[in-house]
Amino acid sequence: MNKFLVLLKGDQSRMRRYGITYASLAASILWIIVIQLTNAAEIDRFFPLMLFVDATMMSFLLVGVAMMFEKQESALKSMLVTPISKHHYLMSKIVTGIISSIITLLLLGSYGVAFKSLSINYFGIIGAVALASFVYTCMGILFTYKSKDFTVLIMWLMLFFLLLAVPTILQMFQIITADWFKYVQYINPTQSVLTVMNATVMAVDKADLVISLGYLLLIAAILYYFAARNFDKYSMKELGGE
Amino acid sequence: MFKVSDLRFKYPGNKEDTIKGISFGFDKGEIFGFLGPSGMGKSTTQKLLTRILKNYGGEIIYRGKDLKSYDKSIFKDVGVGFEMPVLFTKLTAMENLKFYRDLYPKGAKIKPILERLGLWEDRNKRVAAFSKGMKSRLNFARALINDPEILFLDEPTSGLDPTNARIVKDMISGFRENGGTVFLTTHLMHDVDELCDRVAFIADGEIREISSPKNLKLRYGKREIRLEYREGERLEKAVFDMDTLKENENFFKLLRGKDLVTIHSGETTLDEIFIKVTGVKSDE
Ligand SMILES: Nc1ncnc2c1ncn2[C@@H]1O[C@H](COP(=O)(O)OP(=O)(O)O)[C@@H](O)[C@H]1O
Ligand SMILES: [Mg+2]
Repeated sequence: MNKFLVLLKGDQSRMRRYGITYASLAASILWIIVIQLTNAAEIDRFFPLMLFVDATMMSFLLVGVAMMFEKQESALKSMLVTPISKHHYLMSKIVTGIISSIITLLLLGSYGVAFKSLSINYFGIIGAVALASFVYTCMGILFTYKSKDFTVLIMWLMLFFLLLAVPTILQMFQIITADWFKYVQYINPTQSVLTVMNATVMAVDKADLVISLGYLLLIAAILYYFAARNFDKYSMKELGGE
Repeated sequence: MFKVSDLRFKYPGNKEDTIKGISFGFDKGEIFGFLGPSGMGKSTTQKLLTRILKNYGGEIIYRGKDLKSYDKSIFKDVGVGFEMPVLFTKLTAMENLKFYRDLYPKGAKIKPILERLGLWEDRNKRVAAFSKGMKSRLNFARALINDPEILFLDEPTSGLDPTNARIVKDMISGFRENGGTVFLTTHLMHDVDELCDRVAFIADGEIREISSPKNLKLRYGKREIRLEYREGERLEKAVFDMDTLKENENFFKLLRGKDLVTIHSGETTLDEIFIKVTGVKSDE
């Protein structure tokens, strides 16, 4: 079997064994309940918001938790003495995050379509979820490098949520309406994710969509670059001592 | 196979070098022991040779080329046993080994290895439920999982009962008999004596001595006879060199004239050699 597929399969089976997959499924079920409670007329508008939380915050959390477990078991050390490269390792983590988000999408999407007459651009939303998950998994990796344990990681996640997600949600519900705020939000990748996702269910400003999409692709590349660059330093730090 | 010259290494944040310019080499088919007290840089050296730690000074040549010039495919032929078991505790023994084996182009057969190590019956148990000794054995199995040509083993017998230590040692010699090369890190003189063709003593990040166990015993070994005898109320001691014993009149005088209490012959023990060479008491 291809080395990368072995890694990916290993990551998936460990996610299940460590209970991470089930936590993510539980979150999906919560969202399904929310969908059930949402007025059918509003579903198109709220659907991207639910996926957006999963593709951003959950991606960040999933990879962080998985890497923290690996750290506790010094699993990285044994990976370093196999023929797999850091790119294999990182990409396996990222693809695992994307798969998890897409599963959530499929669960929520099929429920929404079946019971709430959700109308959605399927390819668009799959692409948007994958891209968002890529970006936020990379962020998760970078912040896991910086976290010495679960507690620190969770603190980063909360800070993230406050700084990146809350403003976006406030703007979406038109609680903050100032014009300058809209411009500030262009540098917030979370806003870009929401814009791209919204585009799959409703009409959005073309320019907005292009800027957001371009921005996400750009930071995906930048974040991956730093995740790969700092990998050696991280592994040195983790593995120097027994 | 490996040639190390003037190797130096400092952990980031430490003031002093942990490895202070060591040089040694070992050939294909050899078991090379790397012996020293705890905390002296053995594991660090193994991590440098297996490229887990980078940014070292000096030079490491592997099969005629700078170690730094290889890509990750170098690990196809290398097996590494870490000091602390590195295993996924929520996976079973079998799942662990299969995962690692599949990362290599050619893998070893798992069943014979586990059978030999007495773990076959427990193959479907989660590693979390393993005892310390079982984890150590599984960790050793993991090092063999790619059917390597060269093995790095960091304290492979630590935490094992004598029976299992015996099995592991037999597997190490078997590996060498099939043409394998071994770099064996340990603080146990007895492992070195049984297994190694040559041994380097390391203390304080420097190599104190490189030799074969047999030469060491010849050099440091003293064969002597120790007597205790009564001299009136007192207990006296006398020591004689065994090799010149037959010409030693004093010895015979003592034998005939005194009441002996004890008589012992002795060779310098391996542990004494360890202490002499490293200046540190062996922890065994
Ligand atoms: N990650 C690390 N950071 C700083 N110092 C370390 C680290 N790992 C080991 N050391 C120090 O390096 C020295 C040698 O350690 P080590 O190579 O593990 O010794 P040995 O294997 O001979 O017992 C010790 O003094 C230890 O404290
Ligand atoms: Mg050690």
